[in-house]
Amino acid sequence: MADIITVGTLESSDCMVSLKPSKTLEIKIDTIVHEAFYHHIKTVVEKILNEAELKNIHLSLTDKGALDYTIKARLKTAIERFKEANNG
Amino acid sequence: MEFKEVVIKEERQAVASFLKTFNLTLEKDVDTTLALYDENTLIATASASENIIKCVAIHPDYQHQNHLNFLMSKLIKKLTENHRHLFVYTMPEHVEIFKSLGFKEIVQTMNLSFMELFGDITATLKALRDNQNIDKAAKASVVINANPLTNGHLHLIKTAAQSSKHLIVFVVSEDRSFFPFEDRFKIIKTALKEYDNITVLPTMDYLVSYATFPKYFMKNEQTIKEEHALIDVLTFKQHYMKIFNISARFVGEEPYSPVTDTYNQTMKHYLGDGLQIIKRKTIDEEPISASTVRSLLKKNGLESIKRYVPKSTYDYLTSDKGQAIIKELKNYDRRH
Repeated sequence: MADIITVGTLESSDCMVSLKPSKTLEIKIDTIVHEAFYHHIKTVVEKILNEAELKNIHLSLTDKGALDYTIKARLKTAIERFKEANNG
Repeated sequence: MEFKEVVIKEERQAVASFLKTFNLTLEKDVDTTLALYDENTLIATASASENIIKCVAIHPDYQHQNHLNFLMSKLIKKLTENHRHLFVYTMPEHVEIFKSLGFKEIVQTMNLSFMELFGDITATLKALRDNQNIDKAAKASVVINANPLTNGHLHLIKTAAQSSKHLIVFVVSEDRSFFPFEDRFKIIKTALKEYDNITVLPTMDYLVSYATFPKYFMKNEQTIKEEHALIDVLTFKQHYMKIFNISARFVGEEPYSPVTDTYNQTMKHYLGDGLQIIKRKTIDEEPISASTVRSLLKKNGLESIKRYVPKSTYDYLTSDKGQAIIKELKNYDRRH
């Protein structure tokens, strides 16, 4: 019933990504390494969303110091599941 | 470490006694409980009632070791199977923990913080305002559950509409009433369609009923009622009034229900002259209320409430859906 997809965990060195439909593009990023990596993470998120051609979406990412690869993997999994759930 | 969803009675009791050591109670309305064990010793637990996270506790020896994050990840995932917006009430000293889990604060009092995950009250209310093309001029407002809409509500709404250029009627979106939100909303829309200075809007998920408010933080009932009223009133004041530019809120006088009376008093305290208390409309010297209508429906059926409700409520009650609700009301009485 719920059209929200959540992947990942909030454990150390991981991140949790959730996606749900929205009227506009909303990206919310919380990270414990905000000072150093917020902009980098935001760029990664935007790039992947762009590649996936997702525009009307609410994305929330809570990062616990995950590596780049982890973030990308979590994002891609979330997007794939989201697409599956929304296109039948 | 072993993690489990608590289902059997013995496990539930173990969680309840674990919570007791923190002076917390496992609330009756809890429908999901997770527990974390270390070699059969319960070390952490978290619960939820629908989309409201409650009763979170971790053994002092196991704090600051990432266990809570593990448990909360599991709970959040479990809850998002059925809900797209989560809430938590927590003590102000624990706000940082929930912030680190991605929660955002909606409002804080001296005793409690009300927080949300996967939503943003400011963005939600602004989107609602802009979608409906609501201008920036000062407005009056009424917040009703209307379970179901009565002539009492209509009297309140008409009085409020006469004294202001633009009135917003907020209908409580929370779906825990006999009459489903969608139908309560439609009945109100139909009843008010000839008024062009009234806009009917949902409250979205933010103004919640006393039923869903956690009772386990505070000791006596009066404090709980005051705290609930405070959270609700502050949410209204700090978010709804600001975003919709509301300068007055109209409420019905409350001679009977102690919950609503506490509520009105708290509102008076925080809204001051912004609160207008209107005398209730009466029938045979008795104030009309939705609960009177429900009990009349229960006891005497549809014809007995004709004088109490507008045409749109009456018409709805004659429909299949309405008939089913009357039946449900009657059965509810028997069950208790």
